[in-house]
Amino acid sequence: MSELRNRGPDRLREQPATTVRPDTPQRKGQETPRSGAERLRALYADRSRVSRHGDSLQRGGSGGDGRTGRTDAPSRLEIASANGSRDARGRNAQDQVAVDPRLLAGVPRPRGALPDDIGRAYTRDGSPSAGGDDGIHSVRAADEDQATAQDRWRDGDRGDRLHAWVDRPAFQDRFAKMRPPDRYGDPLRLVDGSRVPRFNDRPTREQTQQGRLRDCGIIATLGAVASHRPGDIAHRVAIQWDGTYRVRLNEARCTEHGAEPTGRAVELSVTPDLPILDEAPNQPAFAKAEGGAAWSPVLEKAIAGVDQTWTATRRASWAESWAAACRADIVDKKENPRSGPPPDGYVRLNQGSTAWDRAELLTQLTGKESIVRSLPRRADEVTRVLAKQLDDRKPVLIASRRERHEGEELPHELDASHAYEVLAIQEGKIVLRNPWNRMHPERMTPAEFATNMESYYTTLK
Amino acid sequence: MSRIGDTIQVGKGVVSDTDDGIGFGGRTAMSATVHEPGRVRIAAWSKYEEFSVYLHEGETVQIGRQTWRLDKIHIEGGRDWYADLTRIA
Repeated sequence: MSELRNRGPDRLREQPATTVRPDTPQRKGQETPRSGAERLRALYADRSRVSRHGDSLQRGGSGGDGRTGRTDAPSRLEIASANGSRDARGRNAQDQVAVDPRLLAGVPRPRGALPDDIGRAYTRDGSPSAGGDDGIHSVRAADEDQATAQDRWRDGDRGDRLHAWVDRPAFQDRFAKMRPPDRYGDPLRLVDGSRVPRFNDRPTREQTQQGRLRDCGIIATLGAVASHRPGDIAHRVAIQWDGTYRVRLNEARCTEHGAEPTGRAVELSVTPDLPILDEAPNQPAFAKAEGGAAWSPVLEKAIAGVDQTWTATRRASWAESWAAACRADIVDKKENPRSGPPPDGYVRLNQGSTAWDRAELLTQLTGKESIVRSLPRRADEVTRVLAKQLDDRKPVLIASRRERHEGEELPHELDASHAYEVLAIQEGKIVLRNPWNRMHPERMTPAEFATNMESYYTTLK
Repeated sequence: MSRIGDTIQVGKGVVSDTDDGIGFGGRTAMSATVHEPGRVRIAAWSKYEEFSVYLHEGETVQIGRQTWRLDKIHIEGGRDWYADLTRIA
């Protein structure tokens, strides 16, 4: 309901009605074979050309407002707040049909997977979508033997708790096109000298909002856990006598299909400084402290710094992913291709995430085993499987598919290669939440969902 | 508080916002062709409204009683881009 409160009267005024198109794919039960452009025309058929293309935009300060209308937002707002999970539970209660266990099998983690939430994704054969095997796998095999030996040594040495100091993780990505934040500041400090509280009532997904970092998968996961399992967020962030935060995570071990807890705790002392821009020193450049609660940027910083506690095996896995990303940049003939040692801190998060990375974070936040699964092929199975997960208070994360050509706009107000939380199943349609905390997609039928999203999702086992 | 003359970068898939609650999100971009200059589609929001808009270089958008002009699109393939905006009113 807090999301409802965030919306003012102006926004509600510009949402006249939800349009129902007679030829929408959900009535046919499968995706329409129309081209992307035709689908787009149908999607915006009820909107004027002026608003579609911003023709009324001001030039030299005069003219209209040039905005694209969003005709169905009120219904999405309702969906995104209180009704969503209730609807999912109600639906599940109605048809307590057991889910075919074959639909619950995991998807193996591909080696050198590229992030699926920033534009590149791994191919179905498990190899990177660009580059190919140039010998790194054989090199990695030798590294892995050594890493395993080091892990055994480390495991025996460190007991049941890891600790790291997270003060100023690297945040200036020298390969990124956008200007990075300028420096660390204290944006959580209020004018009266106090600090934005860790929590404002219980954690909710509406208290998360992505910033300038390309970590939509991280923010979507934080929001999903906050609303499904608020206790898992609330007990992880404490304040210490010296003003730093103590963040406690579960150490996760990557498995073939996801991640599992090792049984050890990771304790991170996190200083309150956050990256800022000089022109906006009073707010974090990355995750926002939405809803009067600081836990989201604090947890994002902790996750940026958790690589200090990684095992050699985990570091080797990240190095392999980084190498795949570097190869992809060369194939793509990027002006400034990524190279050199794998980055850490916020810069690591800025490379995006894979479904398996999100599984690792789910385990770190919940202490539960997580898994990456394939979406079922049949529409009724899609809704049944997802509804069961939501009914069991298990977060569900999924990325939208990548663009098929430059500038392609996905339907249903989706953004390409972007991570979303599956919020609810409502009236047979799937409701997603955008980690921007704004611009939530339209509800989709299972067929539309399968057409426009990646074919695998992340959840708790 | 943002002021006239302030600039902001809006990039693919990320959120850039000002101290006064105006936010922008980068959605899609199209490189310039012989027929049409490059353009971007960005989301814009304030406390009271949100919408998406197409912008070519030189065009402006009004949001929360502010006017922002798209100065330049930096694009390297549609999947990696950002745009410079300047507040002009």
